[in-house]
Amino acid sequence: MAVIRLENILKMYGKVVAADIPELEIKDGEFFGLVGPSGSGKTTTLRIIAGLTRPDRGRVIVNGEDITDLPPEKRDMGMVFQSWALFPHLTVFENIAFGLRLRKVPREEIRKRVKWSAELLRIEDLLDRYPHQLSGGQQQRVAVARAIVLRPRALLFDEPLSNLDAKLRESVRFELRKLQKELGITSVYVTHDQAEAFAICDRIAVMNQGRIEQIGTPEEIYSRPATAFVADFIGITRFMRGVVEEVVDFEKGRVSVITEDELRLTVTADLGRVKKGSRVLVVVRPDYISLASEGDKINVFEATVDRATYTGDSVDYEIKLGKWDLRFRTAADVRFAPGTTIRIRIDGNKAIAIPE
Amino acid sequence: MTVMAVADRRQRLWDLLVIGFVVFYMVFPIFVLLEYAFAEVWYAYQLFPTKLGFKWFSWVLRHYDTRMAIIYSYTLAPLAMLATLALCIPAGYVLGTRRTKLSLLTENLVNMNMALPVIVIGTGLLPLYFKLGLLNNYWAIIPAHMIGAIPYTLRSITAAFMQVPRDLEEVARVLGATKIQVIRKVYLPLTWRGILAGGIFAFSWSLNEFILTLLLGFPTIKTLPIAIYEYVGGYYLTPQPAAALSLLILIPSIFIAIFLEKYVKVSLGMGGG
Repeated sequence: MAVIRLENILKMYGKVVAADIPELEIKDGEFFGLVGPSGSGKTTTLRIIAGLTRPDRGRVIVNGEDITDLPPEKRDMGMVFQSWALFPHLTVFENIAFGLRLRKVPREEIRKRVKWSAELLRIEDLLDRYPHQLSGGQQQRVAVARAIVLRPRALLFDEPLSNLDAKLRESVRFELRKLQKELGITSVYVTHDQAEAFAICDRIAVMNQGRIEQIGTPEEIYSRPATAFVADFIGITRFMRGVVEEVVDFEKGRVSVITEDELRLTVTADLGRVKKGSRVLVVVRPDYISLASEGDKINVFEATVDRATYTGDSVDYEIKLGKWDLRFRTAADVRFAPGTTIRIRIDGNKAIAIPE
Repeated sequence: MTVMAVADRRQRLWDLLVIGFVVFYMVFPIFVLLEYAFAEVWYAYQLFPTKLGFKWFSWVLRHYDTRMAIIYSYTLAPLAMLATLALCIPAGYVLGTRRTKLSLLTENLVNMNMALPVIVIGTGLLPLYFKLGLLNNYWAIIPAHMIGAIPYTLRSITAAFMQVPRDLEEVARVLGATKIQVIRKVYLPLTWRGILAGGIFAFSWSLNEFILTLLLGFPTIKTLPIAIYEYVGGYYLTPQPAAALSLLILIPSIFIAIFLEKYVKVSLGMGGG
């Protein structure tokens, strides 16, 4: 049971802002993601929660208790590192038991709890081995088992899957999420891979240059990016720059935008932030674009195919619409050669205008 | 025979020659030493001694001067080793885990000591010891021995600490270990080979130390190397007791080396971990 709150956190490295978080609350039992490119402050934030990095100012609060000055060993948290950081001189059993031994848990109890966590992660056959005798996937499981065996207040993950190969990574995502939901331990998950964060996390904070750009569920972040940075970071994103001509529909939040090259688009917008005359970027992603059918009238354009890439289950296109390079995807059985002119429709429910 | 095979054999011949030379170069003086130490009867016109025995060993053990030299050497060496380790383990921990500019500077300064002729240090220490009244003092020899040993010991221990990934310390802390527990449960189990190697450096440095002991301890503190020098030095040339004493320095070193090689697998190189 833990609610983690960060208040007024600031951490500088020289003149670089490593983390600047006025407020962040991670709910009890939540799987919370910190996502961003390298150097965005996500790992610094995690380390501040763990107590491995001291913030220059601000407070870390768990369940109402200020733990800012508590050393890491007194914070009752579990952590999984990118390198997994298994102790090379200890067997898998002793690695998992490490925290229990420090807490002077009785021997029989240690055996029981190690067994419990090893079974949860399906590594009960590996207990006598040493870390160097394990595969990457097995090492990762041991690292998780070692973190959960203490039944800590919070679990902290620092890119725990980025040293695994792509296929394994995908299957482990679901397992991690399932495990976390079973145990109900509040968890913070750092990754630069947005797909990973989407698959695992309940809510996500997208970070950039030490600051949080947006917090929300994966759906919110994908469909309603608050800033150009978030839109660009999540998924394959292209922008069309323009000016809001007028608000078309107040209720649904629709505006018409005239792009720099005089194309008229009707798209969604947050009317609290965008009004008539605003300079905006229209976020266009491959899944917002479809081939236009006969009856379509608005947001229908002629575009030229620049490049087509066959990926197996689909074909990815680079297309040119006016002066804008967009990305577009079709099923594998639809093929347009480069140079072909196609009629496309941009979905005005999905495409969103954000302030520039 | 093919051309390849001939080239192969020639290569092997060269290898043997090179290795053979190195081995001969290292072993020959020891061979001569053994001859002198065990020779009881050896006429000048003969290549090898005619009678071998332990005469010279009992001779050196009977004499007060040489007995004291053995005691001095074999008490100073472990003491110097322990004192060096006591200093270098914490220092190596800091230098190995925090690679700051200050660490690198410290390391370079300490390493410079290796290139410095010991006589230079001795010349600096002599007036200092004189003023402090430490000349001819048994305990004051220990820091003098440490000066030469520290660069080697520190390097070995620093390297061992450097090889321990930082993550291990951090994960141990999060799992509930205090700073002291991290050193005991994570660093020591992973660095003890490097620490042992560093300790052996210090031990053998102290055993071999000559110049500083001579400058600061003579004539009261006579260690084995000085006792040996007294036998062979000057015009009083008696190689036999000197050879026997030399073996008393050599034999423990050989045993330590074999023990380490066999049971501990410590490479005496700079690597630790």
